[in-house]
Amino acid sequence: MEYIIHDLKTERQDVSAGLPSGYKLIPTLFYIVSVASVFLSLYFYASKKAYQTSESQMKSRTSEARTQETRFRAQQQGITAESQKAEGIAQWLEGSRPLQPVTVAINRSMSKDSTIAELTLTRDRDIPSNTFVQLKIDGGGTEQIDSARSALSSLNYQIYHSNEKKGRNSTDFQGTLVYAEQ
Amino acid sequence: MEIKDIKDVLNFAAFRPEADNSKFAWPQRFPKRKSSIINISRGQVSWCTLSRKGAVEDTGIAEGEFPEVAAQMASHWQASTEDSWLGVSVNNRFIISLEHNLSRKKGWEEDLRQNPKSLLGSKHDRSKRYALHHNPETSASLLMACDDSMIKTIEETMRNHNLRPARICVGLFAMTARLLTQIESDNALKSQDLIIVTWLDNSLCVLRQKNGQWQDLRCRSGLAANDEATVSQMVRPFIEAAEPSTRVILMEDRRNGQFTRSFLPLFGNLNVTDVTEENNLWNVLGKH
Repeated sequence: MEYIIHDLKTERQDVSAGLPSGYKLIPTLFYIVSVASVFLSLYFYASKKAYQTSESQMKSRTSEARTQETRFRAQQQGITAESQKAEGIAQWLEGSRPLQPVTVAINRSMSKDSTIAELTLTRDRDIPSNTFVQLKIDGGGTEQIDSARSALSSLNYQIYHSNEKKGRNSTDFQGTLVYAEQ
Repeated sequence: MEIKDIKDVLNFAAFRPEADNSKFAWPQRFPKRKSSIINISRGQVSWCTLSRKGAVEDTGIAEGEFPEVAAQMASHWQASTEDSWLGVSVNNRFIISLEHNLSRKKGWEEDLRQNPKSLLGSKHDRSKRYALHHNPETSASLLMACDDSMIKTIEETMRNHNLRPARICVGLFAMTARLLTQIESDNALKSQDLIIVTWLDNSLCVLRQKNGQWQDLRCRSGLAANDEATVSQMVRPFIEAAEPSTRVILMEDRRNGQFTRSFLPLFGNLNVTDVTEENNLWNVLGKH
């Protein structure tokens, strides 16, 4: 047993022997929570800083990407314009196919009873590959028109929007010729 | 609940006993705190400061009665302790006697403080305050009686100087009880024939122990300086009754103190074992 020296002083009332040791958990937890709070605050502060840095980098990259996108779009538009020009040239080249064989083929398809009263070949302004044909034949009628159609088909022309009108001695034919690649 | 209560919980002070709780030893009352202890002798006051680790840091001594010394030293003592708590050792106007068959019922310590008459019976004197140390193996007890008026005067003086007594004890009785406890725990010593001498600033207690029995005790407090006649008169019966195998166990308040220097030759050829440590009084008071 521990030796405790006697005490002769006049005793004070309600002298505390101290709170039970188990209650030490309360201040201990307080300090643990305080330290944890400080560490968490520092952690969150560091995370926020890292996020802000990352956000500014992302913004910078986004702005760079937008600049690049704008540049690419401008280039794309240029290419599209070039492409359209090229297509126009290609169509023009396509439409500039010589019409002389057409007139020769129609002419040769005529039988001895038929004559060409009127032949008009008009190239479409917007689509040069389309050629509007107007043919007026005196004599021969529908058969002569079919003969002309066959002659044009043999030249790889297809006829769209064709229209025939038969008069007393003549037959009118209208249609759009489009050259079909083999 | 006050802010101080919350602060005490957070710095764990609320889990320590209060400094004036007599049920706890000194280090439990002042854990990791500086403290001061004073020893009030006849015409002289000495003091020491204990560090936070309980080591003696600083000692001092002043001639004069306690009220005069306190008036001069109160601020110094306040600065060297926490919350003005002081440990006090009284070394005057007390007597230690050997008694037998005193009640040791549970809670006797509290009874001795609150209602000493129930323990001491006809030996009780209203003008005294008492302390007891029982021999665990026999029915003998050491009974210390100290003047109540002197304790009250000390408390009043301290109050006047904003000092608070954490403990008031009789240093010589504390040293004697500590030495007896030490002997009781030493199987080799406790069965021997011993003359146990304790000395503190001109107060002397001599006890004869033979075969574990306390046989005779003499005590005087507040002797005049170098009063060899009185000391010799007290010691002589013990020396005369001593046998060649009798050992003298001596404990003083400090190593190579006044008793060793002046009165050791009184024991003649007897084997004297000095168990005094450095700053013995302060160590005993500061560790128990």
